[in-house]
Amino acid sequence: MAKFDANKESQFGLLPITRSERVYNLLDNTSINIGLTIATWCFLIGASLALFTDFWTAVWGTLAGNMLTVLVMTWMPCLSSAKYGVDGYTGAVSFMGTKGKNFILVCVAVFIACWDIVLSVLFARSVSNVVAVFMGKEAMSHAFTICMAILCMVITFLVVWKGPLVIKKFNNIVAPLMCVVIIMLAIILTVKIGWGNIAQAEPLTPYDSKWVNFLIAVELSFGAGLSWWPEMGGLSRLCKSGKAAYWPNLFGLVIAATVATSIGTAACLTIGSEDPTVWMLKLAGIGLGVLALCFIAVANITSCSTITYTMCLGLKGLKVLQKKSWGSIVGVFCAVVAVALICGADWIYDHFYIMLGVTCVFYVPMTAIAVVDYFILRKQNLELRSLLNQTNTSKYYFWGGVNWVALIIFIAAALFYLVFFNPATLVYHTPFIYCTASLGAGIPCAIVYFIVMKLFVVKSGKGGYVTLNQ
Amino acid sequence: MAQYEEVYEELKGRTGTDPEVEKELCKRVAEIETQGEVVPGLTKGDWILSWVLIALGTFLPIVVYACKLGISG
Repeated sequence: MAKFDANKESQFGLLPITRSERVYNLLDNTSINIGLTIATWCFLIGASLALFTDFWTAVWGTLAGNMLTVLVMTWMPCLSSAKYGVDGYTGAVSFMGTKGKNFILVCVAVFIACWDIVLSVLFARSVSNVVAVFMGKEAMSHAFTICMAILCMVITFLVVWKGPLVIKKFNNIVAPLMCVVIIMLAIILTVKIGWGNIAQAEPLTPYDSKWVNFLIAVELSFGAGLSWWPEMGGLSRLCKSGKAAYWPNLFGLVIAATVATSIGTAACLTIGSEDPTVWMLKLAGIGLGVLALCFIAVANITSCSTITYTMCLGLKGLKVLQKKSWGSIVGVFCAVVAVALICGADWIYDHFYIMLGVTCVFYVPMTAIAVVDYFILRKQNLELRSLLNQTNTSKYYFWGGVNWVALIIFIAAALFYLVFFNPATLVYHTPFIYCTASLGAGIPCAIVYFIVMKLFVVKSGKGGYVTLNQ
Repeated sequence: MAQYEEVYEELKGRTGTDPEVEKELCKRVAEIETQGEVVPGLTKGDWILSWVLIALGTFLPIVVYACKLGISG
């Protein structure tokens, strides 16, 4: 195996991809998308929906949430990345500024750390439950579970440190395994419980209003759909056409995600537990359940490694980290996650739905700003030289390297989201029942950004808008 | 290679990358700028289909559920 050189990878890996280097057609990108989607997070998202809605409401809520967010969110990173061959973070320079994109990078790093926490706890509980079965115990101790979660991060560190070839090898094994697990679960649900009973099952902890429960399912699915943003630009820049970059998201992140999430919801509703590591054993029995948990444990390492790798590669591109070794960047990132786990961050796993809500608080304003900026203000034209120029001679330097208009509207819209819905407490306010929080915050954010930019920034000649639209 | 020289002149020392990487970067920028568009984008039909799917997949279920359950807190 060729030695992985992260310095080269992080610099060469982020160069614009030319036409002759494009490798993915529509079918390739569809299989990659489906492989990414059908992972353990589907069970967690499905379990979150089962708290509020019955089966069919969850299915329609998931479809509604994913369809809008995936198809709209991917306009900006997918189509611009396919057109110019750059990743999503580089594309973000056009609306956040040369230094403002670091704000996006740091926030996304926090979300990826949270995903790592959730996935490593899922790994830990899967291993704990398997060990408990073999030892004839009811459950393993909390300390044992935390040690396993840290072990997951140690393995993740080793895999990411060794580079993308190892991750690819893991992926080739895990994606088909997860498809097997999901098909197996669907068969067991059909035979043991029956879809009539699944449709009749009551949600675990719903609100009094069925309409609010449906809207919360839609809102959490908005979060699930938007959380794919970090992966989108990297994939699209390797696609042979805009169609190949865009439409696979429909098959993977919308349709496959809805099917897999629905399986998770069905299992959770009928078993009465929101934790897949618990319902897996109850539903599939000891033999198949232990096998499925082993698959899930391995799958989590792959998912953790994939998202940690792309994140650390993005961080390596930061000016302050360019001189640091790849091992130290990955090591520090994994160590932060491990320390968070020791400090009790496994709480995030039990309150996973909060993370989906908080995802909306961040990604909704960013998507609104990115789409307005790229499609309306820039009419799908970016200047590649300015995207890559990090100095004040770049047209995207704005003021001190930051588009302060975008940043201020971004923060204001994130706070405005809380007027509709508080994802931490799940308390909703009256406007939420009319338009959901994401639409309620996202649409005004897009309108205000367009007006302020048009009136003040475009006319001032900052940001390269005038030259592009002339 | 006139385009490459021009790009290199503009970006030299400004990309935050090693000189070796910078040269390769400028070569690629020049190539992409010459081509105008690296790959074909979405057609009008794609955009129409996208909006139809959003209407059918998102707004229709929401309207159906609003009618079925009634908008209430």
